[in-house]
Amino acid sequence: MTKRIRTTETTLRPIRDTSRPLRQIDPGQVQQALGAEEVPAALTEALAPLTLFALREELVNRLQSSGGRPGLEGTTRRTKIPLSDKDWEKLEELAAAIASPGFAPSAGQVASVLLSLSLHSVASRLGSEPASSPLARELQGLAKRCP
Amino acid sequence: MRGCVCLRRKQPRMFRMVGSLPRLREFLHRMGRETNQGEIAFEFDGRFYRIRNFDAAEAKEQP
Repeated sequence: MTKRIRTTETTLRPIRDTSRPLRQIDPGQVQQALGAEEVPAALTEALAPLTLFALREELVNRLQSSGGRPGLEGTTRRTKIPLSDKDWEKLEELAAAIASPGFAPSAGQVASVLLSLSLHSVASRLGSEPASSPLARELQGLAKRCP
Repeated sequence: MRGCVCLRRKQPRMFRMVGSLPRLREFLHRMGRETNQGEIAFEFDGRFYRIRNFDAAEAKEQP
């Protein structure tokens, strides 16, 4: 009969980065420096192949193998988030669309990265515009605290 | 056929990235020019950009 091995090491406290967040680059500066023109279509409105590529890139960068299915780097909690069956199906479709041999993210991992990117996007926008409501001000404060 | 490059940073390292923009421009324009692309597209900070007019190739100095 096999006996389960239990580690008795004390759990180390997570390291928190308290350094000041760096100033973001102005997109206009990048546009001018690269001699590009902005396309009016907003990427947040439609999932372009380029966005899918960015999503895949983020997953590749953050998936860490520790035996079994690789885990997402930087995630510390598993929270129940209400989702409709339709949304879950879309996540599964997305996960299947960006999978390749040796790289098969789960629908939950795709959801985690999409949520992280959306939160970052919302926080960036709030940071660049004056907060008009108490909720916006609170989010702005949160965005400033989170690097 | 279109060339696509994904340029995306979660939190761009400002000074390092700004310093490399001229080299990035040279690369993107050269890629578009030498591979006969109609345009080169890239994404930055959630916005979509395209380069349609490529810089002319610099004449190499003769030894």
